[in-house]
Amino acid sequence: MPDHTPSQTIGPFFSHALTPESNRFPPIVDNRVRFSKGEGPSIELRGAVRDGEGNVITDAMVEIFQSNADGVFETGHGYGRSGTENGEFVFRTVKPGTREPDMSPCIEVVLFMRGLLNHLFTRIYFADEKELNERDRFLSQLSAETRERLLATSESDGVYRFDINMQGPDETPFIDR
Amino acid sequence: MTVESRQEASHPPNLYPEYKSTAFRSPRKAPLPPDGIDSFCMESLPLSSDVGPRSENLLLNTCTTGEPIGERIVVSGKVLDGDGAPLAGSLVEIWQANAAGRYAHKVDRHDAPLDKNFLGVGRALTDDEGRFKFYTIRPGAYPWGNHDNAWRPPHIHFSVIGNVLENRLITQMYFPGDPLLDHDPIFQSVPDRAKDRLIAGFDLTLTEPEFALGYRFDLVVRGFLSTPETT
Repeated sequence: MPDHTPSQTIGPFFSHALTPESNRFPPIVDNRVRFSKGEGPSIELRGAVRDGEGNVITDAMVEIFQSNADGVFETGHGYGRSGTENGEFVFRTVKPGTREPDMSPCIEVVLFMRGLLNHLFTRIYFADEKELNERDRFLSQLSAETRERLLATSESDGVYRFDINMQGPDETPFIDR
Repeated sequence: MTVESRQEASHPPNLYPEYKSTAFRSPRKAPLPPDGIDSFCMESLPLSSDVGPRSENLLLNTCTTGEPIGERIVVSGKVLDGDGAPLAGSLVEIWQANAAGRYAHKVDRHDAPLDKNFLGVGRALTDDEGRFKFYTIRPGAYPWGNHDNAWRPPHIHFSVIGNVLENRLITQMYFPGDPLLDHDPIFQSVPDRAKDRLIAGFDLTLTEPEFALGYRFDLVVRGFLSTPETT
């Protein structure tokens, strides 16, 4: 029985490979999340990633995976990547829909950076979905304090913020998938 | 369908003091159990035509005036699950330094020459047998600021996207017989029993006469369980 290949850090020099911006090696995925179906208003999702000293991390990579606005997971769609070179990750996407009575709209997140030997999973829910959040099968079994830290807040029209803190009293909850 | 559990004993810890960057970046709280979270199937990715024979060949894919400098190598292997079953259609992305140990990335300020014919990036989709094959140049070692006289052993970075979110993997491939491995905190962070899995195997059958030495490197990731795990 083969055993699993160990994880290693992504290191600091990945952007020209994984989030390239030039024609020399065109990207296959970027920070604009694409869908083939589902109508929904475009949103911007952004946030800063901070280390244990409160410093903004500019060499992280964030990946997101989500359903379309109708709550359908489309094969080959709903995927985005963003670096944090300008101080924040930024995605252009739609607010995901939901099709299950006990699931609130959420976005799956994977986080990578120098200094992380293993990538980390978390989820972004939305603060303005109070009712659905209360019935969500994952959120509802967490403490109120933990739940708060998984909510993106509306910063302005169509712009949501989700900051990630690696350590400290406001440490973002990560999920052991 | 349930996914194989993460094998804790195969992976490094999040906090590993000898690798200094982990001090302020590794999470300190225990992660949340995934109760109520289903595994996330990813049957295929939104890929453009930019994955194919050209993107798999780092000797050609970013040349401007000629061939890159350095020893040509073939790096081939399979993406498999814990039962040895192949993962077809997996996205494998690689990146690396050039033969002099310099990355074509604006943040790398190491005083070693850039190679205008080598960006050092590639991508492939695994075939029905889970196989990928890259042509590239053997990367050089490079110094980094972790500790005094610190050098990263020559390595190739790998990113794998399988068929489910849970088998996402980022890792590094190292070369056999490298004396720097004993001194590298990133490699050493891996539990002893799992270290071998990060070292490519020299393979004469992959070696192409008069052209390139061959190295084999398989990636074993979490798969779906056909029967429930016993704990």
